[in-house]
Amino acid sequence: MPNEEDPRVTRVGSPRANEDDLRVIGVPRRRVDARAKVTGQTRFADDIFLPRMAFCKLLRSPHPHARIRRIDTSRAVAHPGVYLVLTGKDVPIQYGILPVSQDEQALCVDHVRHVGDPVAAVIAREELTAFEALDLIDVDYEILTTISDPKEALATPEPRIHEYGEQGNIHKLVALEFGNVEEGFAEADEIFEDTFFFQGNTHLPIEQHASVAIKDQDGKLTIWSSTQTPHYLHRALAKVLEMPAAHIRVIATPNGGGFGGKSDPFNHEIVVAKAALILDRPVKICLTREEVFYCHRGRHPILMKFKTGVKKDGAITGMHLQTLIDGGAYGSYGVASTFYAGALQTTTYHVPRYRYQGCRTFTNKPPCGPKRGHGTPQPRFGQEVQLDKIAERLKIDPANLRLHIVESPNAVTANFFRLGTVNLSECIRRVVEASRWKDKFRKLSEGRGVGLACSAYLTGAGLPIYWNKMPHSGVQLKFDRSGGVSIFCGATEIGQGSDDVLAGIVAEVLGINPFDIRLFTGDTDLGPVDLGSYSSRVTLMAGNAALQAAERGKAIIAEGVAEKLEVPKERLSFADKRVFDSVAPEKGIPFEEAVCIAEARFGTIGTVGSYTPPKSPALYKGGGVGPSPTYSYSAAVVEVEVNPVTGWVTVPRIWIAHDIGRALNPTLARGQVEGSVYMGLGEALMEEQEFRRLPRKLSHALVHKFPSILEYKSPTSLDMPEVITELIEEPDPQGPFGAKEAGQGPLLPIMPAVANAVYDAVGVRIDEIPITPEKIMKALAEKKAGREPRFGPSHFPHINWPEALRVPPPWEGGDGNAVNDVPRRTRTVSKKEKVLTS
Amino acid sequence: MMRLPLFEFRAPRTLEEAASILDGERANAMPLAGGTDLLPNMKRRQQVPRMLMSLRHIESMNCVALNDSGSRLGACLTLSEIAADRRFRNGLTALAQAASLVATPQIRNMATLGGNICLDTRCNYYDQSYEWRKSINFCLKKDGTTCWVAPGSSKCMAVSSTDTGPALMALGARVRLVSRSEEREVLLADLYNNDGIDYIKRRPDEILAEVSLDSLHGWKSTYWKLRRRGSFDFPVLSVAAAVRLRLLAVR
Ligand SMILES: Cc1cc2nc3c(=O)[nH]c(=O)nc-3n(C[C@H](O)[C@H](O)[C@H](O)COP(=O)(O)OP(=O)(O)OC[C@H]3O[C@@H](n4cnc5c(N)ncnc54)[C@H](O)[C@@H]3O)c2cc1C
Ligand code: SF4
Repeated sequence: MPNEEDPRVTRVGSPRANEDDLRVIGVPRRRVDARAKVTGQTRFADDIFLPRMAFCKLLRSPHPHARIRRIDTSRAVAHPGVYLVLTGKDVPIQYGILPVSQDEQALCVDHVRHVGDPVAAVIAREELTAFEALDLIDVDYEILTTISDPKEALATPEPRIHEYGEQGNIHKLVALEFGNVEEGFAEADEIFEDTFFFQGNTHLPIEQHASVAIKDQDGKLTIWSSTQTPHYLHRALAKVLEMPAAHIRVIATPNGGGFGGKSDPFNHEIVVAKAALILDRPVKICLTREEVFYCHRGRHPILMKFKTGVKKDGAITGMHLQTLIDGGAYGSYGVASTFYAGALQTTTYHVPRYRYQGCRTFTNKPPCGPKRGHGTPQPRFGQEVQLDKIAERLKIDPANLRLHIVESPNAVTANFFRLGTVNLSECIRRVVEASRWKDKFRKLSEGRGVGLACSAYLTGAGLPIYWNKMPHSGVQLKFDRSGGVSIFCGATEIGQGSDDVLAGIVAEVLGINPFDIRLFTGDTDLGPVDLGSYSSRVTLMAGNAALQAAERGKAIIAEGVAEKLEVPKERLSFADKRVFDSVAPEKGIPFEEAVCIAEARFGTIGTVGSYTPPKSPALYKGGGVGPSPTYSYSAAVVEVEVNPVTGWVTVPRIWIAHDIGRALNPTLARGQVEGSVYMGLGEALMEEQEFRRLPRKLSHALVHKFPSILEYKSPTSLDMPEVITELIEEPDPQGPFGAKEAGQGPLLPIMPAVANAVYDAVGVRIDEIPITPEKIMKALAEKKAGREPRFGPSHFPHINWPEALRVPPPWEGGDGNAVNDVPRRTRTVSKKEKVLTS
Repeated sequence: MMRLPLFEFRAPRTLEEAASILDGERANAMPLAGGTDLLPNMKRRQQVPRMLMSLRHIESMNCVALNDSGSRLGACLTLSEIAADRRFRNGLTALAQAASLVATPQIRNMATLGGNICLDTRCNYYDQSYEWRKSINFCLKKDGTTCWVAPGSSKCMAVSSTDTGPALMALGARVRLVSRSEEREVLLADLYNNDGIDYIKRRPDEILAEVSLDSLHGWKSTYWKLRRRGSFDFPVLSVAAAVRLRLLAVR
């Protein structure tokens, strides 16, 4: 492999230079993994069958909250066909996705925290045997008080669900203030206070989590798993199994959908790994749909209160947001989610002064985490519905109001996020035009309406989950004499098309066909680290790494070919599987010959590329959540028909415009946007992760209402409206070929746009998600009775907030530090984090 | 994944053979038609029969006879067949509509008319896995003592969600029940009990062999279904109606 400092490696003809010449990028293409997917040949984790393979089932707690007094596994161990029974003491080391929340155990040792928390594992010859043996494990529980929601958590400090956290059952409190918000309110012409509730919902990937682990011939561990984050799983396995990470190989199998539900290291992954090491035979687990609901890590239910001051023209003078977040039983990504819930309010519209107070509580339910949009769809819903109310009171068209206050490109926001390209205004104009908004808004007949909302989302988290200075993504390329190119990268294909992004970028730079490329992704042994498929980071980060590696390879090849053809290397072009003189295109050679020439000249050719995001100006504590190399923007108009007799909502059409920077493969980009719309519509109208508390006098039970794909109502393709998608392309300097994200942002405007459309249709405000016929009927009844035509929460409880970190915004001379905290030049690891990471 | 419990499997070729198997096994055996209700229930351990007896190989149960004096529909006709067959129109429209609104195309390809009529009653506390039901200490209908829908009640309130049931009732359908010792025909409207546990008057040794209808010449019928999700869902509410219009009078 050539030395990275090799002076021969120079950048030739940046592929960004001449955009009209792109052959692969921007061309709608069949994705590279499409054939395998549609012919059923993609090997998901559950498709793996190995000789001597045993099957694992987990015994899960039937109680929402209890201490484990004693576990007797003897009857299960003696059951014919059972190979092994594991309990918490076999894998006691705590782990968790965030260094600050190492609060999970693969099998609970002495405390169960929700129905479905695993307490023992049976590994048997057949899955049925393992299932039957679960009933032979005797667990003696001491029942503890059930804590079913955040208000109960605030009122019930004891018993604590966890021994760590702020106090009692409060997991995390956040208080940040950027500028003096009270002064902002004093300057306002009008002040709006609204409370909203966003019910929790889940990812519902079609593929249920599955894993297979083996002890290799040489005693090392390999695990195939449907995970979005093989690197973080790798770290968790090393920690819990007390094995050198170098002896562990994690292979992320293609995920049949993830949406954030496969981003944590999971107990079942650790259990099968442990069992495979003990038994020295392959061990597999495939969760049932019900168990996926217990893994959850989905949308946090959030109660929120927005107080916003505005001028008569709609300009915001100050905003104060409070959130009460139902975290469920474990930390998961919750600390980050708590910050995210307050992070992005400033990235769409100019908010000169901003205060955020967030509180996440533990409750006895499956843990919540980073579902698509991670912590931001809930406050986005509140903010966009409140803007609709503001526009109405100020008698300004809601589209015009937003156009008036859109944040500028390259701005640094009040909370010190540096924006990149911002084409939100263009998004708004496009959907307004396409939907004929001006002819429809407040003009359609009773029962029909339109609503508009916008959003922003990060293109990759600016910081990794554990603190380190290494790249966030790496790519290696191997050039074969055949002209074949292999890409090695830790990036994980979860259906979003990350493999295609890598292949497309490399193919573009080298002038070859994406189908000539082989991909080895999501494998910790083969490829360099990529942090995982979360936070919309892969296209930008792995894409930039691939771009760098490809350009380096191109430079080496160009060097060799230039000599051979006697053409200055700057004049060489790579296209149509040829390397040729751009001045005299007939003078050239096929790509494979070019590789051979370069190999003969320089030896075996392989290159690497990596990507590290730029440093963020947000230096204050908590400023690590929200910064991103650049942000995507979306605007949506939703049309609804509301039946005033039944409250039934139908959505005939949705227009969405998404500021994507550049669509690398427009087919895929549109797929992401439409998929987001689909998921958003499910959240808006029907999806609920709901729990049943049985009558307290009779039972302590707190169970998932219906953990099945039939009864957890989610729309199917037949329920989808017509979606008119526009991609707004202004290449962003941060992205590979200018690309920004498309996987999460377009989900965000859907829920508030539906709510705003329902108001336009029947004149009632549903300040709560999902918007069900029952809620509409109740609000219509209120309207009829002459009361406030609204359904939603009326009250935000009192919380003892800590003193806010006060960070003066850039326009008040702030440097990104809090004035009442030790200044931090760059982000450093806090002591607490250091202890918990080790 | 959820696994079926082990069971013995029989596949008789005639109604007589089937009736005699049931006669011998009584409550130990359950007839299996499309299995779209029974097999998921078995995975959840709501029903754990020692033997399943398939009805799909009994030819007479797959027949349709439609003529001027009325119609006889074999209980093993699939819902897809009923929904697609142009002969199930006019008077029989309600039945075709109901069949076409059950579940999804894949399920309708397996699901049968007899199975739809005999469908187990449903309830949110009951249509759950064994583990889930364990965490509420089960309920009256199976393995428990309390009804969680109405804790004071000594009766189970689970209801049948059959789509074809209401349609067939509106059409005045009768069903033929065959056991080893006897054969009887009852009005479909009389087949059900107002009890979520003992919901059907079919005895365990009886097979619902066919559905019969009087001539529906001149009748019009329709079936409407309210469901939470438009693409597929069990009914929240169903309404079926059949009318015959005569000059200035509605019967
Ligand atoms: C996802 C899903 C959605 C569904 N949605 C709907 C819906 O919208 N509407 C609806 O009505 N149903 C629905 N069902 C339930 C079921 O699929 C249908 O009711 C179907 O018609 C049942 O027929 P089957 O032949 O599969 O019955 P089976 O499962 O084979 O049998 C059902 C019961 O009837 C008994 N039985 C069957 N045939 C006979 C017979 N000839 N004589 C005596 N006993 C018999 C069996 O022993 C069993 O107790 C749904 C099921 C699923 C899994
Ligand atoms: S007894 Fe019947 S109605 Fe009551 S909870 Fe059980 S199934 Fe439901």
